[in-house]
Amino acid sequence: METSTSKALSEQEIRDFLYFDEDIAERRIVVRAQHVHKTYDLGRIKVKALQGVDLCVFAGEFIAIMGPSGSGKSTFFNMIGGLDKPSAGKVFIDEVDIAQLDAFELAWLRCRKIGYIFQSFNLIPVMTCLENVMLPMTFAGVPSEEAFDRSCNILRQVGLGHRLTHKPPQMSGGQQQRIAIARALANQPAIILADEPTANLDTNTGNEIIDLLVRLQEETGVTVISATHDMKILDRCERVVWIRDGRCERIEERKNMDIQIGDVSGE
Amino acid sequence: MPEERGKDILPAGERIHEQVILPWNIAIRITLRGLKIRLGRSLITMSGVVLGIAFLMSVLSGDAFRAGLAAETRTKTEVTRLVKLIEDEVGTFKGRKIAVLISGPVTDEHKRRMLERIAARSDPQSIAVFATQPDRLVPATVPIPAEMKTGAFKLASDFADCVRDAHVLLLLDRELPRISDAALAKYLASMRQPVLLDYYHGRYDEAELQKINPKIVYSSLSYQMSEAEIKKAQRRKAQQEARSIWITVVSMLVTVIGIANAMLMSVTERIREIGTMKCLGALSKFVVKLFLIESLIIGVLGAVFGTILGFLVPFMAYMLSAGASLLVHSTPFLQLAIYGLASIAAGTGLAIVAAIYPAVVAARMVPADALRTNV
Repeated sequence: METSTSKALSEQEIRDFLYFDEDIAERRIVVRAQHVHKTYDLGRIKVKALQGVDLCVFAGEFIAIMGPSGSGKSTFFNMIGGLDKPSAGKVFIDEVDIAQLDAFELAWLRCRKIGYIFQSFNLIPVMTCLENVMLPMTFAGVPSEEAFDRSCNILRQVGLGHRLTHKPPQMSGGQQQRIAIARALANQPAIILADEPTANLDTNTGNEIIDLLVRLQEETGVTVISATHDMKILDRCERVVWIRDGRCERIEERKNMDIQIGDVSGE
Repeated sequence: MPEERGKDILPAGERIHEQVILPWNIAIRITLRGLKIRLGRSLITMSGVVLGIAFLMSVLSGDAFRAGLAAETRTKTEVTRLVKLIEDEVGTFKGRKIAVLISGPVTDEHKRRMLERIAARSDPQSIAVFATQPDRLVPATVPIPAEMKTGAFKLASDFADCVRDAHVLLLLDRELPRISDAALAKYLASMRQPVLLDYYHGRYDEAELQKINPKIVYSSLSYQMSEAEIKKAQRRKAQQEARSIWITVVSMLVTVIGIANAMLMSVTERIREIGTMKCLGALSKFVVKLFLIESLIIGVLGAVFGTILGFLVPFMAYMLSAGASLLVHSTPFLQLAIYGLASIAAGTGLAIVAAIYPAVVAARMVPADALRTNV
């Protein structure tokens, strides 16, 4: 592991760097990462997964975090989702430093304000589709009848209205990811964090999931942050953050990028 | 500005709250459903508890059965010895009139058994039982089995009649008031063939007794162990106790490790699930609560089944080797009930302790680490 420290940037430099566009500078910031470092201590060696990443995510945008395997994008993703704490640097969610939150507040934040979607779905296999979606509502204290109705509605929105009582293992990958999306939306969160949502799915199913995410983002105005190396997600998002070797390499806007997706869909 | 910015994630006037909710009834419902759906896995975990507790209980109940049977065997041996000794002096009881005067360090149980034995095996003409008073013989308070109260057995209301012409067996000792020599002489003189068996030999002068009735036989009933024999017996007892303690301790350890292993496995294989729950807003204590309920259910059920199993298996085994009536007769059931309750408590407690520790560790993990875990 190379050992280099990130060049310290002044506040003004960060602002200049981030708000290069006047339009964007006007928008509300939902998530702000500031010099985020993360070091994993593996005993004899220390792995520097993140070496000073800065990022602002604006309300209502669809942002993709792109990077090869081992680049630290999943680590960074966990940081901004409040699933892990940075070794150094700060992560602000809605201008609240999440390092300052205690376990109760963090749980509250995860429960109501952030929805998570994972590469391997992470559904609870013993619960039905409906119960999986109801679980975060239970944690949020929603009365069970209301939770039931709301869960049915959300599942209908993601196209699973007919499979409410099935269990995840009986369903296809695409369907499981739809449950996960429904679960992420359960408590009407402000942010959806999707960690490689299409990585375990075939092309067509992946496309459907991307379509669903984009549709939900447009309908509800939720901010979607997706770690990915799926070009199709890049094609649909507004901005792309490139992470390489634990650093933020560049941030590009979709309109300035040239992506052409070949159509390889089969039968 | 901050309010303006905050609008999106936190609507105006709202701030970050504390997450507190997971009602018990919902927690129990989630747990029960989890147990039902994972029935196979739950049964395997439970079988860990069942086997551990069954092992512990079988060691404890085996000890209790063995101790009961050993006591029974000792009583039997002593009774056999007493009866044989009397028969050696008097000859067979068949067709004879027997007056028994018993008391002393022989327990009521011994006396009862002895009478039973005499009545059952040699069909005497009659048996009467007395106790001594300074001047006379009185009816004894020995518990007499119901089946003996009819037939040959007589209570000593007409004891003077019983003693006359009887072959008397006098089993004497120092605990009862000593009958006066005059009274004793009167009884002895009227007997057909008096036999005086003294638990502590040497209380009467044999020459004096000969004068009263020349046919008298005077002998000792007591069995004195030699110094070496006493030491040997004590050593054997100490060895047995040490072995019994050792086996119990080992079985406890096996139980602890078995249960801890089963519960650890059941929790660690679900660390990802715990991570997921935390992502959905579960507090550490929600997770611990779910596992507490689960391990409580598994612990109680497993310990109850284990205790039953650990009682039945040795019971069957001893029943085959020693016979049902003897075993039921000799088993200290109260002690077994205490062992059983202790086993159930131990199994439940162990299951909870063994599950709570990994659950707390897993629940305290940063969700990202929990989600990364692959088991």
